[in-house]
Amino acid sequence: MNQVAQLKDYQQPNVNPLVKRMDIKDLNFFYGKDKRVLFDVTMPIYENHVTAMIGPSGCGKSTLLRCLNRIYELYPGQYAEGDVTLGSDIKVLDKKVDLNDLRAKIGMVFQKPTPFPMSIYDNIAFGIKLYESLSRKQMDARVQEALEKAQLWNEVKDKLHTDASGLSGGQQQRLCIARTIALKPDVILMDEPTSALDPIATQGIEKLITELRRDYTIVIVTHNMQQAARISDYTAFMYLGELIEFGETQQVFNQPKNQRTQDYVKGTFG
Amino acid sequence: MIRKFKNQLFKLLCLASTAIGLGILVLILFTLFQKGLAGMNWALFTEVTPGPGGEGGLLNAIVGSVIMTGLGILVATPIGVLAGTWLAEYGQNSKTADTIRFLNGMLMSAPSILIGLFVYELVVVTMGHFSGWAGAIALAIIALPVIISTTEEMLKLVPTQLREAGAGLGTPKWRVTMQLSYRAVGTGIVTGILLSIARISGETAPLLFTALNSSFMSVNPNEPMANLPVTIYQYAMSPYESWNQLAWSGALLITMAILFLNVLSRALPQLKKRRS
Amino acid sequence: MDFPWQGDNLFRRACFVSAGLISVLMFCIMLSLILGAWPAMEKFGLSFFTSTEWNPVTEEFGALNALYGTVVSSIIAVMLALPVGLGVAIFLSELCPAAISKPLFIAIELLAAVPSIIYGMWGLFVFAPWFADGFQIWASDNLSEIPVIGTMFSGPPMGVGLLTSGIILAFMILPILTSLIKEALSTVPKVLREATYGIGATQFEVIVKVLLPAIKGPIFGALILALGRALGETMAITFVIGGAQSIDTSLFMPATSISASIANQFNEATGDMHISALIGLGLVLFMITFIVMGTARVLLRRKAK
Repeated sequence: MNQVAQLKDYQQPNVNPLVKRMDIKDLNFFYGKDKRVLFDVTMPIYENHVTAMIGPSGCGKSTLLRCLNRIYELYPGQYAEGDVTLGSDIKVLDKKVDLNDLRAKIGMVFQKPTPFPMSIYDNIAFGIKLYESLSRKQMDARVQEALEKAQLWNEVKDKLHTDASGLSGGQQQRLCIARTIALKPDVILMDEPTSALDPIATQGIEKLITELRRDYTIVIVTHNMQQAARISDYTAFMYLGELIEFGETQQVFNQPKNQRTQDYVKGTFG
Repeated sequence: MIRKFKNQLFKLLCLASTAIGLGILVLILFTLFQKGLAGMNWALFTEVTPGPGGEGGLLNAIVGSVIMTGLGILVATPIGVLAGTWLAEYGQNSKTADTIRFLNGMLMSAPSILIGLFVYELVVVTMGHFSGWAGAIALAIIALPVIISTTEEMLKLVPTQLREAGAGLGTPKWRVTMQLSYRAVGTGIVTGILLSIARISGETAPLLFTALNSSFMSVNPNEPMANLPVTIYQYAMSPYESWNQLAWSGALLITMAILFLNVLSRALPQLKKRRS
Repeated sequence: MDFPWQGDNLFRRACFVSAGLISVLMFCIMLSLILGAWPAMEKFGLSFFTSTEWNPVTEEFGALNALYGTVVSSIIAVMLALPVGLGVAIFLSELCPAAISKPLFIAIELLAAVPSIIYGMWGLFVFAPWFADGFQIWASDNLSEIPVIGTMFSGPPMGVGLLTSGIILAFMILPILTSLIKEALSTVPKVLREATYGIGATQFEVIVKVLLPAIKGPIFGALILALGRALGETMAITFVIGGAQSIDTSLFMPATSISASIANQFNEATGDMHISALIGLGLVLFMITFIVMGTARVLLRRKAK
């Protein structure tokens, strides 16, 4: 496992002291009345760090992520109980919180790249237009800024007004990240963002994530342990809907406190 | 031996069935060209319908049909698309949605002449006279269920990821639907609308007691309105040779227009794909 | 834009109102037919359904003639279209190469796009004369000795009549029947086919003994659906049924149907009772198609699950 640690050549917890960007307390999640899939999850999300959630499939890591911006509310019958705080005072699970404002503050990138059926430029401008009315010039600048941050600008600057579906998978995923960044979110949630991509595109996204850490707080769900070890500062290991272990990535991978964590990171099961 | 013979005979019968089906289409088209082509000339499109036995064209009937079909589609499209959206996005599997889906299916298969009777009682009796509006409303009621069910079917094809990605940016649901989902399956919805145009532009029965017919040129939907199907019906049944000729030419015209719309709506998805 | 939730509410309401309009529409259609038919129903009661009297002068009306013509012509249509539809569907999905199958299937589907009135004109001016000379004369000469069938296939060779209506209707419902059966065939798992060919069965045996029994339900559903279509068909029938208010044992004789009676008489009807009786016919047709189509929907949906 030391070998894994060596892969993280660019990892440096870079902010002192640690600030909690989000705080999850006693979170429970239900599909319908009887099926409970999260059990009293409590963990912090630290500002300007990458937090990875790992665990075998069906462990609840994606569900946990989907609680943080309440995207589950698209589906009737699914509900969460507990306490999730964003910053110091925004109660995420409170019905009174404006869902759309919340989702602008907590952006999300999905497993499969999901470009909108429109041009590259409009993909970025779409979200911005929801919240701000900008002049053409200001909008151009915002689109460029977002694409630059997502390290896509150089590849697409000559074809901004062509359909986004013409981009490669890796480019599409970076476009989706740019679309999220354009709203200047506090937190970016990523649900297995590289699982549909080839190794080279994956490398590009991973590099991007470690750089985005400077400006954003990132939570990433991944089934790829190497990836978690490479890019995250903190790791949460989940199993059967419970949070088994949370800690600095180095510690979770090299000196896990829990036997099940050890079995999983060593590849004994999962 | 007997098994082989049976097999060959069976295949021959299937082939013969197919030949019958295709043969009918070919025969009908052949008849239309054979009898209709003779009357295809400029007068057909520039002159109004003549008196008994006289010479003339179908201009007023063509214009009336276009107006009523257009009005009908203009009424049916927004209602149909919104209703289909409700079924796909809001109602989903609820009891209410299932009931509406069932009633929509029933409306789709209700004999079109009954729609004519209904609009007669609703509009013609209320207004006191036949009118283009009544015809357009009858056609709208026939197009409506087709548009509703295509819109629903199409919206069901929108990938969940697209909806989640839209919601993930904090987009309100109505914007996700109108700006993302409609756009993603727009071609399919347009195909449905084209097909319903094709369907209603050949409908005769619902116009008999609503728009009636007229031998004058009129673009005012408040009056009885000339239209191709009823003109064809009346002229085909008449004893005058010039009217019969106009009926066949009109029949050729309307069939070609409808077949063209059908082929176009099939080709639309491919055309769209090639362009992007 | 400033009140996104209001936009959401507004949009949801607009969608709901539009969807609800369908229920209102169906309700109003039924109500208007019932109200319109009320005077005739009140006057004739149940005898409206059993009387063959149809006399605008004395204002005596019964629905039986039209009902008979509607039902018999539709049943003829379904009986003729089923074997042909099965043959076409089997040929297109099982026997011929995919490259040919697709354009052929489109051609068959175009048959459904041809307007009813075109079938009527073609039926009256092309098919009927040919049918009279080619089949009816021969049938009168050769079949009239056979009991039952002889009566059905006898009479003057006029071309128009019940049998002609049934045949034209059969052409019209052929596409829907074909595409529903073809769809059902495509749902049969491939392994079933492979397993049967694997034991050395011929195509005939595979299709007739394995595939068709597997899709009995959907075929029946398709049949009912096609029957519903045939029952409500108007313009084509109006051209070729002959328009005679009578019931005759011979299928060669002119008759009438509900839809044809309404189409022919509604605009000429002067007396209120005549109009009410015609709307009464419409109500009967509405109920029949509602029941038949409802059954078809339930059958087709249950099998789809």
